[in-house]
Amino acid sequence: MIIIFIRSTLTFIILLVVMRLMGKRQIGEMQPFELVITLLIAELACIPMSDISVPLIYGIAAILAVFIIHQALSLLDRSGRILKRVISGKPSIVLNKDGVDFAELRKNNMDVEDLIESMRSAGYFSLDDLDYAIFESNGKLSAMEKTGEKDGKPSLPVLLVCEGKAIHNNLELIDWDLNTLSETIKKHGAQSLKQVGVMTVDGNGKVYYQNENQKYETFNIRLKEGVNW
Amino acid sequence: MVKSLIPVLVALLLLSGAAVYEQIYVRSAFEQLREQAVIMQEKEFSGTATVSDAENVRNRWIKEKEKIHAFVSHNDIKELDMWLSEGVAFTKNGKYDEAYTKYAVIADLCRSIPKGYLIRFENVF
Repeated sequence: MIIIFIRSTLTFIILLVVMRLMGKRQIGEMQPFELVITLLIAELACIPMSDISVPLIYGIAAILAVFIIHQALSLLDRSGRILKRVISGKPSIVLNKDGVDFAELRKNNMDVEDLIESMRSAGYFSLDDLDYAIFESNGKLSAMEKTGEKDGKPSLPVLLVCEGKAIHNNLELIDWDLNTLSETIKKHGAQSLKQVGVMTVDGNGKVYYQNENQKYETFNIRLKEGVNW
Repeated sequence: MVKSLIPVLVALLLLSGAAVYEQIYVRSAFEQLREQAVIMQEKEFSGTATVSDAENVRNRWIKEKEKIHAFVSHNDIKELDMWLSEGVAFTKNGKYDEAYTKYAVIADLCRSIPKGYLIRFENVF
């Protein structure tokens, strides 16, 4: 038992020194390679700490190796834009003044639901609230709010169509069926559901609608009596 | 820039120094044990091995392994301990044929264990 205690103490001290040398960014917002290193370093420290058949020097060597890799990548990251893009990636503008950029979303392995979720975490509940939404290379969403007054009472929008797929639960919520939805999207230039990128509606009946590869539009629908959420 | 390079260089130096020392030390420590095992093999073959010969080899190894533990997987060391103990026991009972095979395995392990620390494709992957 005392051996594990001594090994854990030694490993902890070395890790602490290495993390301090890596700087504060390692603890807060992380670039992808920093996240990888953080995940690795925890595992590397754990094995020699708990398995006494592994010499402690194996863990120390691995942690030092990761530290060297981290410092080398940090230097490369700062040395030029091209290398920075390769190592850390670049920010993605997923929402602009034309609406949602579906191609950019797919490049990031995301869909509209993920975007809306990230927007909610940032304090924005409707796609119409923003002029721009940018996913930074550290995974955080930066948003530029629309200027001007908002019309209607604040209300949570629900997703009716997400990249060609109808969200049936939400259609039931506003007492719509697929026929009503089809008629509505045809009026706005889509021949089938597959052409619709995103469609949301809020409690005031304000619809945010965008066909794939087209500019978004907003319009109002009349919600049936008693429809509320 | 210079400030951030210093810890990297120190870490690199430490790592490479430890790696070189490991290579030299592990190889020489195992080579010594291998030579002793080969001598024991010859003695077991001719039936002239004594218990004190076998115990001397084992005791030298026990002293040596205190340092080797820092570099070599403890399981590898345990395996050698086991073969050495068997070698001593068979020599004590006069079973020279069995003892001979034990020292042959020890000599073989002393050749193969340090190879596991060389920078080779099969060791890296």
